[in-house]
Amino acid sequence: MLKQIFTSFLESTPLRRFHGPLTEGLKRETVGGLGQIPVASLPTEVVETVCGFCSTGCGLWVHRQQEQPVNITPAPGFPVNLGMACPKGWEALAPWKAPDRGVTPLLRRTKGGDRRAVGWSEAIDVFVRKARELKDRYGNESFAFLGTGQMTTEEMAMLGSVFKVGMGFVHGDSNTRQCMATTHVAYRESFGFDAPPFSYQDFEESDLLIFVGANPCIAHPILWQRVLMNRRNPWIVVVDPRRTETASAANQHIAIKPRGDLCFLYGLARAVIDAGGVCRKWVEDHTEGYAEFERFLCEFSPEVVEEACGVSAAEIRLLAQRIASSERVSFWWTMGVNQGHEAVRTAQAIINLALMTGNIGRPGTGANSITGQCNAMGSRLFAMTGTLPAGREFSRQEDREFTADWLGVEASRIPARKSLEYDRILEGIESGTIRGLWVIATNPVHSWIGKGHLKELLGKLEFLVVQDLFADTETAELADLYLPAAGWGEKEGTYINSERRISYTAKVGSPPGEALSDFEIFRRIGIRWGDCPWLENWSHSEAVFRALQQASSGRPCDHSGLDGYGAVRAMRGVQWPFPSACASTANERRLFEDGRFFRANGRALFCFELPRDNPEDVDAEYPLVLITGRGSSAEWHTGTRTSRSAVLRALSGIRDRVEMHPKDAEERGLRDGQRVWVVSRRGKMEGTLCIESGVGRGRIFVPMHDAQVNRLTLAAFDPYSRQPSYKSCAVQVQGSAA
Amino acid sequence: MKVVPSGNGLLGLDTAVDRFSNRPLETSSALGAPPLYADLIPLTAPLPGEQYAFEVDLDRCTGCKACVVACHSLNGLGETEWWREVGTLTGEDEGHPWLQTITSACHHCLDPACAEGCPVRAYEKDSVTGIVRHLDDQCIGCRYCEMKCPYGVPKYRADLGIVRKCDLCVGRLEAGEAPACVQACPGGAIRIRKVRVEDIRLQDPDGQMVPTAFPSGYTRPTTRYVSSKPVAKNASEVGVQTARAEDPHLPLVWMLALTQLSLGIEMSACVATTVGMGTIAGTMELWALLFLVSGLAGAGLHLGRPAGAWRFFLGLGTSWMSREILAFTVAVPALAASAGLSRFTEHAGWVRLAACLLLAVAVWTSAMIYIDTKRPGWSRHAVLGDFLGNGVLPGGVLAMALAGFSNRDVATAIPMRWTGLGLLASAALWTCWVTLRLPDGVRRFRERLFPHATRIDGALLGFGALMLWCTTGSASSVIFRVLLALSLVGLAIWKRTVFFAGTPAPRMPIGGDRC
Repeated sequence: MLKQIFTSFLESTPLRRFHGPLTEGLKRETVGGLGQIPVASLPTEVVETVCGFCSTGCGLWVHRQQEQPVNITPAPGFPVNLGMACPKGWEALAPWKAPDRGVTPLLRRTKGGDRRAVGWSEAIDVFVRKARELKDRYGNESFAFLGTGQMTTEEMAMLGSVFKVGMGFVHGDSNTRQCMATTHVAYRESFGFDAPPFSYQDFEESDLLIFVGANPCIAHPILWQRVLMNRRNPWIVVVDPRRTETASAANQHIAIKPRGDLCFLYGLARAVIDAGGVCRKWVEDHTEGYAEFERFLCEFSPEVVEEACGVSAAEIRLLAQRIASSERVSFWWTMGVNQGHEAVRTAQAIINLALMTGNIGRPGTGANSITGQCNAMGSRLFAMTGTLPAGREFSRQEDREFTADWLGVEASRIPARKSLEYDRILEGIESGTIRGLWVIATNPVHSWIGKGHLKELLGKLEFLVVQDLFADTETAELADLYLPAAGWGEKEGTYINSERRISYTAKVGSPPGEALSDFEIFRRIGIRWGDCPWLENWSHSEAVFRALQQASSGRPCDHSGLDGYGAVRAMRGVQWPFPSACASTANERRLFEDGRFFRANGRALFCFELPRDNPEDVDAEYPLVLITGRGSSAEWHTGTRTSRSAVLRALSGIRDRVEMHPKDAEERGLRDGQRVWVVSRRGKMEGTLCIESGVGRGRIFVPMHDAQVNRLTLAAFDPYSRQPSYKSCAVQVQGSAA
Repeated sequence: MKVVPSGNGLLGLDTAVDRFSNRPLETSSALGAPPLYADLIPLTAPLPGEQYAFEVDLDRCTGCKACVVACHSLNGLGETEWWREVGTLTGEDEGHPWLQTITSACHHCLDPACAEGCPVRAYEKDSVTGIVRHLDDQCIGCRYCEMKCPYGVPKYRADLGIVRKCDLCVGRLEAGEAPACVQACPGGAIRIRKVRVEDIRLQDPDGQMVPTAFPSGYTRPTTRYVSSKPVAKNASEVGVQTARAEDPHLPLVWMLALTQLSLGIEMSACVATTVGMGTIAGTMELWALLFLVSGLAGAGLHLGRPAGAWRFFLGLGTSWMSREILAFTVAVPALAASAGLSRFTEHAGWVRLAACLLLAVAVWTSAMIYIDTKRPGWSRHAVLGDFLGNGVLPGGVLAMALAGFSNRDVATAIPMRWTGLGLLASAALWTCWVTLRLPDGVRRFRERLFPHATRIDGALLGFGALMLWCTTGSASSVIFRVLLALSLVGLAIWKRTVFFAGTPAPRMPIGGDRC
């Protein structure tokens, strides 16, 4: 009673302040359609756009106040993310707000000299003059570009056409080589076109989901959301050497040996045959090469492969039975498969499993590659690196003629061969055949495999141009010419996501200082160079989009049925194909429902090959396998953008962590949290030891976001996709003094 | 540019809950039904005996951390401010590796320690909803709630000078909207539930919400973590908790060191009075007063918004911080009165003793502040032992060095040498004993952060002893006395720094190094 009187006395006096300016500081107001929003960032308008980090392709609403973006919320009902986003999406404005953006071109007039700010016209003049000098002196193979999966499709087409057709250089590749090249090659060979067959709805429709080398819980959280929305009580299997977040959340974790995946998948295929899981009628009607594949598998009984892959024959047979008895089985893979020394065959071993069991073209099925970057698919189809636009071949005359006609130039100006791949461009620098390099929206000095000497290598160039949001990335700092580029949200265009969805990304704010969109930079270079007649029509992004639609006509990726950006935005993204006579306007569609594939005979092909030796096995001196991968949902690759957000930095956890099994740590006398050296034959890095058993014995894991880790990795490549094998090399770990 | 004007009814709806729960049917069936957010919050207010609480379905929490950023973004928090944390626990379950991500925010405890410790009652536990609200305009930024909360919930904003924390988005709940984290979780892992207060009271006081969390008996947190999988017994958050120094709270280091030295000096003054060295005692007491006042002035710097500190009496019923402020407020005039009186009367002994006792009570309330946080490194004997051994006892020696400035006879007296050395030796032994009794985890934590701590302790004490020897020798000089004083003050400040930075704060898994 007394207490109550005292309390009410307090409440009625100024002794306790329930209100005031500090309390007001957290005030919110309800905004229709958005819910409560902090008063400081109340939007005057909201613009729908698509995220520019990963390939999930989430719809975001950018809140604007007086034309300036102030906040982001996930777009409700967007067919991809259904009103959700991962931390990167929520924080996508961080680079826009960063105080240290590149705002003017920077030129280093002499090697080793200082960089000085210059105007755009001088920057473009220098670029074109240098490029011409290189071409005149050393020929059309002496200047190359390394691009990205982060630009819009329109920008990629602009770059490819200006560089390869306009300027007449041959070599240009992009960082999609580091993420999706394997998938591209695997699908093309097996299906006849680089065609991920699925729609995200398949996550919800599947009875058995098998993830191989994928950790969607943190790499693609929104896709895991779709898995959790599955109402069919699915069985979820994760095949991964590590006990990842996804492996923990799954029903079953198959902890294979690093690089044991191909043997495991062949063993599994053989066990599926033994379990009677082959859909013989479908295989006969729609595929080619099955008989040879079955004969090949004789050598791969689960009992034979169990040692090579580290999974018991019983476990393999059990999974095979589950596959055989499930109505809808879907297979999903990401970088664990793509980044290997026999990655294409591994991806195709997954495709083979889907084909032989008839798990394709139906809801909840498919051999499905989850893409990495927001526009890796746009790059694969339209960047003119590995193929001509819309997946046409450099080597086919009629494709070259079509392209020439489309651009309004002579057919002779279309190169008859595809570009050197990323690793071979770097080899070209080493051997001196490539003298100039143009790096666009990527950071190879951090990200390239076994990059110990990359800095010196780039130092050999006569001319290094880096085009990026920031002038201080590890690569940009080396540039002779730095070109400041507009980032996501500072320009418009389209991306194509994992499920083939073409989505519109809007310009929601202006780039800082004099920074220009990549589109505009490419265009100015093309105009200054001359000989690019198509640029007359390619004056703005949507014009290029319409031109690409036209180029796609009749191709598997046909989207000529769309009426420009308006249609894309109204439909909130559209999956290809969407030809002019598109029968279905459903917002989620999958390929191969009729069992017809894109190969000339309409059949999918079984591709297989004997496993190759691991390029670097462990030995007494280097007894541990180093696995690299995504460290957290809050980080994007080399951190050029995500490290600009304080909250994302904090959510990255221990960024230089070295995860090790307790027994391996005990053997070395190492303790949790201490500083350690990780040493490979190529270099060493210092990190913080985190002892946990999920990484498995004999292995360590280091996130790829730490700039040191690629000093250690081994520059081994898949022979078909030339994709680097980031997931396995031999190292040792020792305590460091500190 | 496609612009959706605000409130144009694009979806025809008002709140976030509505926009998920009432999405037109044709859309949701084509996409698979989205989670119904109305399911994730209670539809009615709590009944008597109930309160709101978070419930986390660990099967659906897979570490995407969207909740952290959504809370940050939808509540308009500062650039480096977030109220939710996600960490990862790993361990082994019957030989199999086990991993679980844990999302946590305020647990809206039945017995909120933050509120109990707050000297100005800037916390309010709502009698209907049970939500523990922080009154931002009442807060004086003393940061004691940060120490009191065993889950690391209250977060200090240096630029605002106050602490802020999760209020369960009470404003959203009132409007029928889900809290930011609940709305944003792609897995639908976070829910708001009504819980029966009695059920939480009946839970095992030694139980934990999740492994590594502080035993629930202290504050009775209401968050419930549910999981279909067994939880590993040996789970820990690797590499994180062990590597991170705590905030050293330098103004508090200063304050504690000087007030404790002051007590030691004042005690020496009492002894001097008793043995009939009245003049020397008076000098010592003036030094004690100087140390006390300087120490307390430093404490003021610790407050983010000192202007509201006069409200300290509001917390006297529960907060040791309030009691400490009161005790020192009394001790200062008492010491001043004693020092003043001694000039006029020869019979000031009893007054001096009373002042000394009041000061001792004040130092004891200082200790209780830390003991009351229930941190394993701040047990009763650890805190009192540390304060006595590294503050009060050296203070006694310091008194001799300081008194020597005005009275050389004292300093060169041989009994002083042996008394002083005895005090230093007992301080050293005492410190060793206290350190040995620290829990293993705390000792390892300190060893890692301050690998040379023992050597520094030894060097300061040894140097002090040497200077004492020289000071009290025949060739005594001012330099030795200054060096002796500096080494003793240095020891006290160094040990207080270790006291703060080297005592791990219990907290929920935080997923990384946040320094």
